[in-house]
Amino acid sequence: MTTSMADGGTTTTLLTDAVMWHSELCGGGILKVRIDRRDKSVNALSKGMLEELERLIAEIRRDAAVRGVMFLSGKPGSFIVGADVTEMKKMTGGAEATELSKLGRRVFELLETLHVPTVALISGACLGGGLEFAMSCRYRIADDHAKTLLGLPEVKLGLIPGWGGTVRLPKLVGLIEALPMILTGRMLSGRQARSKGLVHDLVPVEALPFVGEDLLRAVIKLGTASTFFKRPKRSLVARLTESIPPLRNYAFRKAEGKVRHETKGNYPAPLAAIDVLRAGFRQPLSIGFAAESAAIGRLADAPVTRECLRLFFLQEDAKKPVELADIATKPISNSAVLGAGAMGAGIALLMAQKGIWTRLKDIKPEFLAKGIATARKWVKSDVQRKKMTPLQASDTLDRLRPTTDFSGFKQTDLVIEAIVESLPIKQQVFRELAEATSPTTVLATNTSSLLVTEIADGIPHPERIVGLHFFNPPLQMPLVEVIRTDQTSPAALATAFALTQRLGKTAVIVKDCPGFLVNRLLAPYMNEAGWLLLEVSDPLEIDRAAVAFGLPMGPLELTDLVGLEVAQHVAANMHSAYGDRMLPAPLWAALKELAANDPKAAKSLLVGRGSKKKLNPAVRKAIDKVRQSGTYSVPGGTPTREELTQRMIFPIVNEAARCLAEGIVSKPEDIDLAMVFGTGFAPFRGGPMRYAESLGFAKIVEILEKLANGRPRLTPSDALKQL
Amino acid sequence: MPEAVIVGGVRTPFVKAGAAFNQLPAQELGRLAVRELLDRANLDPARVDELICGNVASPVDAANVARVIALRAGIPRDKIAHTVSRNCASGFECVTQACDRVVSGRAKCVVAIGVDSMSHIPLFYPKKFADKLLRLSSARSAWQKLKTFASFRLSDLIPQIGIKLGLTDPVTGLMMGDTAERLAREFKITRDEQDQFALRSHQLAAAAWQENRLASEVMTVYVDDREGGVKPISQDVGFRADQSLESLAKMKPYFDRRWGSVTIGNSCQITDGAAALLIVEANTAREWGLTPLGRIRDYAYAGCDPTRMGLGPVFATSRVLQQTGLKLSDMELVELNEAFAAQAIACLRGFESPAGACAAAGCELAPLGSINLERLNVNGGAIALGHPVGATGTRLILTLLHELRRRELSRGLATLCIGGGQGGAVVVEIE
Repeated sequence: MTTSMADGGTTTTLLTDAVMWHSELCGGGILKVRIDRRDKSVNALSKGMLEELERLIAEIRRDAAVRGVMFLSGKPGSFIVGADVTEMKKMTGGAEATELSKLGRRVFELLETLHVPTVALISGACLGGGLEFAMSCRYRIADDHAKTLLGLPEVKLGLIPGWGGTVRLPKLVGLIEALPMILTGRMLSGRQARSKGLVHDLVPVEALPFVGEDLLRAVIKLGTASTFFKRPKRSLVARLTESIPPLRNYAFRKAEGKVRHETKGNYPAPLAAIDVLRAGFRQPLSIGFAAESAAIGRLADAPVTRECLRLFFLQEDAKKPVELADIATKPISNSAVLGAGAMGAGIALLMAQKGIWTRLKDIKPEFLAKGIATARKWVKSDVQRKKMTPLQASDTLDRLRPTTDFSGFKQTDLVIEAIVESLPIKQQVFRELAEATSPTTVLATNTSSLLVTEIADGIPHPERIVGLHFFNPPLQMPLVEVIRTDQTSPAALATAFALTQRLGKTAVIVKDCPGFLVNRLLAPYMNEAGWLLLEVSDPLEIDRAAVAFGLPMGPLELTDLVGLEVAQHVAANMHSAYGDRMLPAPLWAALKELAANDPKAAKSLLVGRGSKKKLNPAVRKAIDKVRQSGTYSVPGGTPTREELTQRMIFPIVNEAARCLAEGIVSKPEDIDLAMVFGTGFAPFRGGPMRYAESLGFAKIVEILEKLANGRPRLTPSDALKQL
Repeated sequence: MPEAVIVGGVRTPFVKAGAAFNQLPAQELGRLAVRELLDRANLDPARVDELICGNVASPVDAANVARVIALRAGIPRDKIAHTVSRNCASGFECVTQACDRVVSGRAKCVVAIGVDSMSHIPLFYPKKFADKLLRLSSARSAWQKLKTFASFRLSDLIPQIGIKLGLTDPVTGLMMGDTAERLAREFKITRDEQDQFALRSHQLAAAAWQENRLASEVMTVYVDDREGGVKPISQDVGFRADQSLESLAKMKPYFDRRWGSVTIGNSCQITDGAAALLIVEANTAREWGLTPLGRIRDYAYAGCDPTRMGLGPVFATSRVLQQTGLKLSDMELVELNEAFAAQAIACLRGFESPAGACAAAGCELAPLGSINLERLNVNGGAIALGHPVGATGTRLILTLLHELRRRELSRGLATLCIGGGQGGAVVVEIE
């Protein structure tokens, strides 16, 4: 034991040089440990911090005066956020990861077997290694802070919990509850954690330290706290499933099938997690721990993990773009949305949820009624799924106020327009908006097909006009493109960007150009599918190739999702903007003609679902017609899967290189981020630029040159050649 | 001395109880109206110093409903809010208090809102039943429990109807309708006169909506419909454009079923609604760029016989005219609340010759003069539009200001009778 002098008073502390674990021995033998990394803004567990904890535990063992330990974070809104990812970034390989896993496990086992009672007082994020730490304490009390979240999100980084989490979580909450938490990284609020038995109790924020002390005193006196807590009752089905081996195996198989279906076998982590759970469930601890360490070693070596980690860091970096550094923004408290369609209502609800007072305008009460109905339905389902309390729901809806006029707009800090995609109408509305708002109100358009510059043309104070391109559905899609014109002021851009962060989105700043970034890169990909349809013998092979590459869906399915008519319209737009490299496949024109004669027949490219999915017979007819007309001579036979992939993916890379050269985005990482979060572009490949880099730009140029024979649209750009 | 001006006003549609607003409690109706009021004025809620809410049927789940409304409308936490009740004049009381606050310099910007959801007035278990439940819960031994249990009677479960209790004068034991019957007899108001007056109210309200005269004071409320969708309600629900005298004449008297003349048809409707006014100190309003809608020149409340509470407007009007030195004929428009047709007609007669009224009240009043029906309740009254008790006073002032402006007139009177034997009168003016 050491005694140090601080501010003239005497406090007893176990580690004088502590970086993270600041202890103080109080009356009654209660050791208060304040978790508060001095060198970082968040509490993250690195190798050094684990070793420090090990030393603290050793001191506790040695010191007879300590009769109980409580752990409390010194950082508001954050308990322990998990393992130190910056350290993970520097890690060289599997062996090192296995070592770290073993260290953490050893320290947490020491904590678990400590002779005095321990309690984790959880306020704020308690994630990954943080939860594994908490699960090693004898008691866990959570508070009702809005940021209190408990979970094991390692799988999102391509990993699995490595410090005993896969063993301890099923022991606490049961296998059926543990599976989704470990396999998908699902997180629990304090309330949910209590009802599932992950924490012993939930208390108000300010009560946490007092409850911790009272609990320890009671346990020191009585030897147990069983009089305080009742274990939540678990359902009979869940208990039976876990106890009867054939049922348990069925549950594992079911989970595995689901994982395989969702990841298409591209992500090893959830499958490894299932193996570890299978090996360790209801077995001696050592077996589960051993399986866990072995899996960590394997996963840490996998390239997928590296890409997931890189994306994680890109996402973190994207929160603070360099171009907006040092630009102060006014916090947004009042906003408005024009257009109560699915997009407008979704954006408005999202803002209201985040505490922004939002006026929702449309031209007719009937349209507003529809938007309000959708918003109320979403909120209701959130309440039913316990994602929101009834009070939060009414708070949210209180902030969302429908209107048919511009009243209340003078107060707004930012307005988002999400009305019909027509340039003259949008220009008219922006003229009205300029009048109805204050000159400092940031005016944003959610257009996807028009140029922000054209919409802003002739509007007073064009420096406050930006694009905020949300993806549909806006409540779920994580990406927003923030579009700047040549006139957009840094302040307006920073305000619009700050809004995206408030809404919890990943945002990329994009220079105004037709299609912005994501749709511009998707255009050649979707168009190429139209050309490929003329060449392949099995049309579904196109989608299969794309999905096998790692896209969430193929171009044919995507075309149907956005609508054939919209897709044709976009293709024509892109052609007029970018010239013949976006030359629309002749099939689109043929389909348009077909639709003119028989609107019902040519509504989608594909018909049927699942195994019955096939090409729409009408489309087949159109393909035959184009082939016979001889306007397009097919070079070579039906393409192989490799060629299909190259012809769809390489044009994306080709166009991306152009975007970089034109300064549409400031760095290649933005392209990866936008494509991964905007389109689901193979995260395990790290995005198009990362993929191209790993393949070698020169090789892509070479292949494109070959493919461009007879297809000038595929010619590699100078920009690509220079990369 | 600071001067108070009314710079904005808005109300929800008035919807008969149990209909479209059935699921909207007073706090919800109130916060809708208040936020719309602030939005229409483009006023930052942080500029509001205080909110005063007139409300009678205090929601049991929202004590001091004013505070609930203020917070839910986004008025910052450090601002104050209180609820006032002067029964039927609660909607006046919030406005007149707001003006007093501004005039006394205690506030620069006050929201006055009157609101009531009659659909939400609860049913009660009788007190004796509640007592027995309490005894049961505190009973210790099994014998005591059994004994208490045995004292339960089926009749204990018959609920007391809150709205009926609310509309009964606890001092005299008369229902409001009974006081109207008394006036009908004392002023010799026939059943036909009452029905004619009711018909007029419906026809005027229907015409007002037909000619779009009320839309500017009414906001749209989006309510959940039964099919899981949302329906916009932009108009009052309750007035009947096709009301005929015959069908009114067919109705049975409600309060004195055998000998009476007051029916549901010639009484005001039971209704849900809210009305809000924004009251700001005159110089401040100018500074903030807000245009005054009008101002309260003066107001008065007066007491009278609770069994003849319907005559309250005569006494209150007399007092306010005395205070201002104005004559009844100076009032270019009059909003006289129609609690009952009999009561409204009695007031009109009382204005002409207060002898009858005075005999009852035991005081002497000079005749105030007659009111030209062309100027009275020109857009219909509570018989057609309904009487959400706490909201009516505010609505009268709001409607009066809008109609004066529309007709380019400058002065009007709003007056109403108050259950329990009082009257309220407000003189408004437009610059």
